[in-house]
Amino acid sequence: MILQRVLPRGMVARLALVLVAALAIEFAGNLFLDEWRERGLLTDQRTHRIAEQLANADQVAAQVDRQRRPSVMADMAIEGMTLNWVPGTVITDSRTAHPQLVRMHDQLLTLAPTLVGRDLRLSLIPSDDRGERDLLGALRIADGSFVTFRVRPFLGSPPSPAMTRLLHLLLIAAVLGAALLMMRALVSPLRKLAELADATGRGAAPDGAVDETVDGPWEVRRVATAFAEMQARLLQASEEHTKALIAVSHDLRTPIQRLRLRTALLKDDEPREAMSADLADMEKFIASVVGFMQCGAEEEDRLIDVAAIVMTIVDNAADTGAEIRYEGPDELLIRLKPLALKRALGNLVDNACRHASHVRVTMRRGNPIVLSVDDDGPGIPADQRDEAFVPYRRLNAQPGNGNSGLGLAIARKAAAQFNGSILLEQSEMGGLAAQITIPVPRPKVRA
Amino acid sequence: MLQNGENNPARPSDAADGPTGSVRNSPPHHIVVVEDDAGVRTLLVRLLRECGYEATGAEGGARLEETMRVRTVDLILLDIMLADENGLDLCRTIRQQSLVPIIMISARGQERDRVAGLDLGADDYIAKPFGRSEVLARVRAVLRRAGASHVPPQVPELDQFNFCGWRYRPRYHELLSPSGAEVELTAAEHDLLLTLLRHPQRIIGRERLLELSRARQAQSTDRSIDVLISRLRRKLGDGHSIRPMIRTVRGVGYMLAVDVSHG
Repeated sequence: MILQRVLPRGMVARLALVLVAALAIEFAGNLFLDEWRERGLLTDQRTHRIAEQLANADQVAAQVDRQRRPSVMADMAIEGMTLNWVPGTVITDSRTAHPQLVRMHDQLLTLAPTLVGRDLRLSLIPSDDRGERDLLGALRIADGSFVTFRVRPFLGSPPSPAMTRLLHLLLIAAVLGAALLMMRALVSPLRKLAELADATGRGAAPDGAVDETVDGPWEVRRVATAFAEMQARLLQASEEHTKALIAVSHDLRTPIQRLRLRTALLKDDEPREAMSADLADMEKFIASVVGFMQCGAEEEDRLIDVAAIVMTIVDNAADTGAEIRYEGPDELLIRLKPLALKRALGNLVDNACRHASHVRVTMRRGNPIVLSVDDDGPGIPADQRDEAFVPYRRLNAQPGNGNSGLGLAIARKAAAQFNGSILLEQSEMGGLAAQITIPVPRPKVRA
Repeated sequence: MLQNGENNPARPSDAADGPTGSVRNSPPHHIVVVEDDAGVRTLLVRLLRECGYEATGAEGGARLEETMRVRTVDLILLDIMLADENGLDLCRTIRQQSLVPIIMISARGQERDRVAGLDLGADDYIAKPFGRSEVLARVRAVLRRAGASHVPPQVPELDQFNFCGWRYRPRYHELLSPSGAEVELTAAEHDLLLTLLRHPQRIIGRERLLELSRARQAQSTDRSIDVLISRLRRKLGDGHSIRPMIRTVRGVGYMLAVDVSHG
């Protein structure tokens, strides 16, 4: 970017640049406002004629008798300019107070070079009406008397003080706004960096591309680079962690498989059934750990019957002895990730069946679709519901029973895959109500 | 579902665990277990033998080929993850030479492996770790399919059934509704639907359906067949229709009263 090359590289220098720019704009604005308050009403053409006439009057006055001078001068009046002759004058020069007078003086001398070096006094006098101001001037001629002249109108009426103050305030606001915008642009790389940091570990991490996507002052780029490196290290550590856990879980399957078969060959019923139950718990535990670790696995949206999936999960739970029923439509077709939905709902149903004796799954059409798993178990106190989602946290149950403490964590992670969410509430059945909301991607819900 | 581990503890062996009546008089089926883990292999062989099958263990493709040269093989249990070779490649090699039924053993959750195996011509799959009743049910089902039809056993299972706009692909356990949506079924519902589809327009007795569903479900009672049928009807949108696809024949059983085409 060209702007990148022109801008100073450091954060401090850029801030200073913004400050200087703001002050400069404020200064220029003030000058302009002052100018605007005292705007001149003379055109170049009229100024030209005034200068000419003044030069003429200077010459004429020197050649005419003192008695005739006033009438001759009065006769020389042109449009917008009257002339007179006086032996002495009270007119003083007030150029120091008014820049316009200085400019007028310079213009007159440029247009009428014969006046250079002469005593030419310029002053302002209020006009007869409308708040305008006239130019009052006196030119000292050779014998020490004065040719006086009045140009009307010379300056426009000044705006009211309130108006002036308002305009100053507007100027300040505009400069402030511009400075804020510049500051915003200046810190935008930081915001971008924060967004990238937020995305890390939520499946959306743009692996290691941070230092390329973030530009800006070198301080920010330095932070971005450090962040990118940290992100890479974190992701790598997390990946190794995941791989190790999955490897362990996979490797455990073979010995469990052997135990399963060995158990089946036992002649004694009692230990066989107990061991089978223990093995089933182990399998459940491993399945949920692997499920949690692999939750981010990519899955495509497919057109599925959500109701059939819900009924399948409910029926499977019922077949293993749970008191569970489903209330809702028999068919609900949307495009969704089926495995993610099965994971989310499956874990909630599993949780409910473990803690309660009666479970009800309801589904409500609409956008979002709301799936609710209600039970009559002990529930979770309102202040512990957030904690319930923390992986490996078992709120009241002891380890074992195939309870990995991952159920809700998996459910939430899975729901996030279809942009859904999970909410825990008090159920009207007395226990916990776990709600899954499924946003409908396109308005394509059909009965 | 994530946690569909076998929830029923192994049952005491009963008649349903052994080969079914029709095959009991003929020489026992010969099953080869291709599995690289010696423990699992030995135990599976032992378990199958206890249930009346002939079983041979093979740690890899070489040993399997050797066995197949020496004698007929009725069924292969093939682990997809072998130590030195790829089970999928082995599956392809077997299919090029023979149409012997293959049941793949895959790790739970490896959907891709499973679909790849079915694409290569495997007949069924079972997820590891599995229990005694699961593996026996699969073995029985595949053997019955291969033996019960009046066509030579080497004809593979039909790939697709079409009925009333619905499509069912048994090997993939995939049911598509007329609007193209995937409709999830439980394992028992799959078995039931497949049985009904194989015998359209014919009354199937409760006992036969019961025998089939017992293959998967823990506690099968006469009532649970009715429950299964009603669940299936609900999913097929068949619950309230005046002319249901699945018709109840009072006192006898059920009938699939629609035309079924293949391919």
